Amino acid sequence: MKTGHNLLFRCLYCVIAISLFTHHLLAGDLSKASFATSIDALVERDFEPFVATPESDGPLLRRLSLDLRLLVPSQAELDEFLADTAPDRWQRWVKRFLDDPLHRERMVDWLDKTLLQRRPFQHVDRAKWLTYLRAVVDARKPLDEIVKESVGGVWWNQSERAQQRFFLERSGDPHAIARDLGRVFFGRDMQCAQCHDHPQIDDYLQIDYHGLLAFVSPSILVETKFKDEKGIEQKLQVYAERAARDSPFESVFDKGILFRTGMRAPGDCEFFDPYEAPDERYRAAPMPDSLEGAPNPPTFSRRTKLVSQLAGSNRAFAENWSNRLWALMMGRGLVHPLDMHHPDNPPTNPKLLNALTDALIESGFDMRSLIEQIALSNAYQIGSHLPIESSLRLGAIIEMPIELQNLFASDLASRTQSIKATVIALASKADEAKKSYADAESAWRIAQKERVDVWAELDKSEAAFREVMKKVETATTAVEKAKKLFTEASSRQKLLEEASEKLEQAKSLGLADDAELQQAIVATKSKAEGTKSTLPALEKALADAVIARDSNKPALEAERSRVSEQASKLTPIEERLHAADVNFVAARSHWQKAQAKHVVAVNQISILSRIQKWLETSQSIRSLEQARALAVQSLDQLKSGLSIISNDMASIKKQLTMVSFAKNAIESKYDLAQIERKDIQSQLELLRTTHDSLDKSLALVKSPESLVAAKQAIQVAIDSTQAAFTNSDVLLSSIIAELAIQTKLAESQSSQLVSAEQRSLEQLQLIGQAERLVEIQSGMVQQTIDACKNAMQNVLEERQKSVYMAQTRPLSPEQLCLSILQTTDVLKNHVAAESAELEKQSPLAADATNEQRFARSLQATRQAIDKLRPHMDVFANLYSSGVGQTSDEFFASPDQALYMANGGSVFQWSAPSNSNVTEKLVQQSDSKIASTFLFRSLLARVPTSEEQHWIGDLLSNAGDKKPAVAQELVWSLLTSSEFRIYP
Amino acid sequence: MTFAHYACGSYEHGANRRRFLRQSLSGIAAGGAIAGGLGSLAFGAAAEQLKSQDMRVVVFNMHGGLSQLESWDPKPGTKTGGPCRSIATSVPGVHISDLLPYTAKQMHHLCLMRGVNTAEDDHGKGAYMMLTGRRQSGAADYPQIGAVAARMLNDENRGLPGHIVVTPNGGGGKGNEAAYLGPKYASISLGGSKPPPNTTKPDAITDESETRRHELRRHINQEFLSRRRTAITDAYTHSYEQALRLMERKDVFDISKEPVRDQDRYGKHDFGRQCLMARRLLENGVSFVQVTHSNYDTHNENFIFHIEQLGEFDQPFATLIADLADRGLLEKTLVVVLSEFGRTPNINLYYGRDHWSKAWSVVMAGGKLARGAVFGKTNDEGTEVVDGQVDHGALFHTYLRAVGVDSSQSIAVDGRELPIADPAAAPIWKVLT
Repeated sequence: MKTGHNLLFRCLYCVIAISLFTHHLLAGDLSKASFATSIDALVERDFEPFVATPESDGPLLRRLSLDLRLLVPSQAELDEFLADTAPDRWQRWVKRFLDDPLHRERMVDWLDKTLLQRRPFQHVDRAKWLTYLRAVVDARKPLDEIVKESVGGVWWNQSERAQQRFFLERSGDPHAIARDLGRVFFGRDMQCAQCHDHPQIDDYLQIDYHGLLAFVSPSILVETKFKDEKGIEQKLQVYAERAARDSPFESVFDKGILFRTGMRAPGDCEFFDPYEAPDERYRAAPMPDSLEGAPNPPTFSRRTKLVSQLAGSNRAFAENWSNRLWALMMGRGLVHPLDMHHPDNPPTNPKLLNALTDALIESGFDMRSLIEQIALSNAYQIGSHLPIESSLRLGAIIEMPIELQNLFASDLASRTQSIKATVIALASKADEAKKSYADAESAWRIAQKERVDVWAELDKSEAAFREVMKKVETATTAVEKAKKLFTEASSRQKLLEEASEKLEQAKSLGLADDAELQQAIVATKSKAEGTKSTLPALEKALADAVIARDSNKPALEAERSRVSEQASKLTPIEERLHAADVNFVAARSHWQKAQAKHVVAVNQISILSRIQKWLETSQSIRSLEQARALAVQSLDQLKSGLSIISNDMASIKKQLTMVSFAKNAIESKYDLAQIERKDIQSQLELLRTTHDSLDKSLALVKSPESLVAAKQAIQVAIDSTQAAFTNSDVLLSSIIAELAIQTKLAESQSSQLVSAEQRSLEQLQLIGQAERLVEIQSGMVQQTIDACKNAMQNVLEERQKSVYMAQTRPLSPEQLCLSILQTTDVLKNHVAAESAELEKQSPLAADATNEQRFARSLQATRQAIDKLRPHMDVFANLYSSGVGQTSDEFFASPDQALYMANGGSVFQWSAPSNSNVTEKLVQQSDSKIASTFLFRSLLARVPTSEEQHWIGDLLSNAGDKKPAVAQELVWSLLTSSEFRIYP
Repeated sequence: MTFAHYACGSYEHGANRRRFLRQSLSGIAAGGAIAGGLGSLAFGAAAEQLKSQDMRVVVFNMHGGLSQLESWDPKPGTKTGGPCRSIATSVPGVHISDLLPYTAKQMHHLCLMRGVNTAEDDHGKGAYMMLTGRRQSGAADYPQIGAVAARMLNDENRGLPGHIVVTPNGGGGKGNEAAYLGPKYASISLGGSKPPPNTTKPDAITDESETRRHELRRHINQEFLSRRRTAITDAYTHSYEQALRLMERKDVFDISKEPVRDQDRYGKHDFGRQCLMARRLLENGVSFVQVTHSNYDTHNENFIFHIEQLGEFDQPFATLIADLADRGLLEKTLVVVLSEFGRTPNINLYYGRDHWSKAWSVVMAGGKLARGAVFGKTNDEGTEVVDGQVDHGALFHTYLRAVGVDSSQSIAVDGRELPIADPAAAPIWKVLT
């Protein structure tokens, strides 16, 4: 059964692996067997279902250019890249961008933001800082050296003033500095551990925070003076280091145990300061070229100790920097957030972080080589939006045959099962490790407590020592003073005697009678005598002062030996403490590793269960769809039933109408017959009346013959009318009978109609019910589709965190600004102007070397950037997270949009000029070429056919407004969402 | 709130895209907080609900340290009381300083906190504590009440900024009061009836061009968003529509549009104009307005200065309270009058009072607060709190609760759960209804 679905799973799990190999493997420099390959080996081993395809060429170059040079590629570069088909294309382009002057500015920008976090220039001016960073990058100084310079450098004069910014711009606040030592150098933000062990993060202990604080807490801001070039006195604050034991140790109250801690870097044991008596802690002489007012440095420097620790074997330090360089390229650290490294937030791929760290150390902390290897890896070249447009779409599962779905589900279940077993094992290992960690910690805390007691005693002895030391210092000052008085008096006396001798000589040379001179000689001599007489007293005072001073010395020595005796007790305790510490640190690191493994496995389960959830909801969509289809079918049946009933009703209604027509006809016939009958009746009545009156007349007349004849005629008429009347009665009753038949018919049809209406109503009710059912079913389908999308989104979010691909992310404020300047040719024009100016000042020789040419282009680029910096500052002000934040969180606000629309120069830059993109757009008559050109220049991709279409129409219909329309187009692309983010 | 449909290659694609376009045009696309990145979208639901309740905050910052003895907690006739007297208010039994006659008539709306003890006599640190609810620390920075209010209350669809500081002359860029909430919630400084910067289209851009370039922008975004839609792209696209809406609503910042009669009622001086501006902004739904009144740091001539300063403060403040109440807005608006601290009961040699944070007063009103209430008590000479002692932390929690915000919640910022108010403090439930 394996072979059957292996292929499927290959598709499901490893789509990317295949496509990656075909796409870029050839591109790699195989001779180099680079570290990039190792990255991919570690990444691929971890591949899971949701995988991406390699980014397409244009966007890929855009990403590389943004990462290595802070801006999007130029149109010319893009064309060249797309036309380049050589197998080593990618490698050459990575190198080309690394060798670009702008890459140096990229690294300057990164170092600046990482070390200083956009802090304003309060102590060191910007030019000095930029000059320093540029020199560092030009010299390809190892990263650890740069970091060390910023914490261990010369502070007592201005030779390393720029390097001191790390301290100075944090206002010399030891807490701000300690927090950032943790964040920037060790990837651990322990601010919440300042007053107690971190409430949410098990691994951030209060002693860790105070261990870092101890490196800088003896330092303090001191005001010094110096004379500037014009000889004017200036004041300058320096971050002076003091002797550690002279500043109080931080004490914290922890469950009733008072303890103090010394220097400690993450993952290391505590370092003990060598013990020195209070009067031996500072260098006797100032450092060479010290600023006026700068104190002498301590004999033991904790800051230097920190440097040597960083230079040594501290793993957390190296891990932090390899993670930061990974994040620089990929948009997200393997540990994320970058400064939240702890066992409950372990690197998503611990092996990869390990390998990166080893590589960084091996390279001698060379930023460029690690960056290069990351850029060369396939992982870097994967599309950042991978899961969204990848082969595994929402529909994929539903379209898949059911048995394959089941196979996928069971594979998923068995993976989950096996990881669950691992998790349980890892959890118990972590628990065990935690126990021995707790034991080791309490052993360490006991030893720590012992030291606290010795320290308390030592504090007392030191206090006594200081009392005597103070006396000695006072007496020493008195000796100095007496010595000064005596020396001055002796010199004065000597000079006066010499002067009077010289005056005598002058007198002997022709001024023997000069009264004024004589007066001067007498005065000088008497002054000399007077001074001489004070000498013995002054000498005695000096001798007394010396005696007084020396009399304190035995007391001081006695105190010294007491202090040193007390201090000597520290040694065995520190040894014990160190032994306990070694166990403590080892047990802790053991637990950290076990816990991290456990968490990684738990995270894997969580991803798998999210995938499972997605699969289940996807599958339920299918059955719900079926249920809905059935409901729709029965609804259709009901509807067709209804239409039959409706037809019946219609025919009944038709018949009913016919019946009522017929009935109406009969009724009118009846009415006519009635009228006729009435007519006949009234005629009959008239005849009868006539007949009766004839009868009466007959009795009265003599000759009735004519009357009799009339009577007979009337009788005849009566008879016939009577017959007609009888006929009409017959007719009428036949009509009535007919009417009765029709009425009956109508009644039966009406009742048929009523029952049909009844049936129709019932049917409608059924239809209503069925429709509701369909509605509910559809709702369920829709809900499930939404749930499925939600589940998909969950999976994607999880995967985005752990899949090693460059992240979709916004451009930094500087990238956004420089990219706009690049796209609109503003930067190019500035560089050209600076080049021309430099060329005017000192033309480059025709046979200038490549180095000379590069140096010239570097200088021109830097000058151009410096001139454009005010624009970058505006962008930084609008788009950055501000001072002191570890990274620029994305946010969008109307004031940014208002600036882009109305405030800044962005619309102005978009105007046609020289041969910039807008001008070319105006000149290009083929609208298809124009739109392709526009999209390539601004977005490094070709437009979709739809885009090509409407932009083409827009431009060709613009007429004489074409320049305006082109400008608006360029602006609208610069302000589009697509321009704002990484591809 | 329904699940935001991002482009995910589904067969539902077309429909969602259309739905999105409709939404974005009507301005209701994927609401809520983007600052925390994609992950914080889940936060949207609760926030939307709260925003629909439409609550607002106005803070009067009595810069320099208002004397509680010449305002909310007078002690006439004692050795620390000074020359000012106390007057009856609209709430029987409650008296405040006679320097606040108009405000006294509005006492039935107010909630006096007379037991404030913040134990910090430094201007900078005191101000920090009162505005953030926490003590300043080198190792951390906390957002001010205005930033928190903007984050929790502001409805972005109104097209107005959520955090405004009104100053006599305006100006100044964005402040940095939002700390980890991000600059999106930092204050915008306003004054002199000027709208925020860049809200006027440059003359060089014709109306036709203006309309067209935004249409083009929308069209280009549509095309892209149909393929690649994320919280980031949504927020970015939306910000341009917000900007246009803000441009349309520029008048909100122009108090000359208020009736002349109201301009007279509030007074033509700076503070009166600032109060009128505050009313106009609140009425238009701005979630947070801060008005600063300077300067109360009266180490010399405390009484003369307070007569002068409160003389300016009293009427416009009382007018604002009355107007808010009349218009039914006080229910929805929290009013706070705070300082960095109070002033010493002891009167120094220069007839001044120095810094005093041990026993002073803060005034609140509106929202869910009790009306006409007095909480806390100082001793006869006002040197100590004897009942109902509260500090900056408790007050900060109370401000949030008064506008219906759960002050115990945390906000996720870049993977960290950050409590919006000091978890070591709690709201003053007794003054909340």
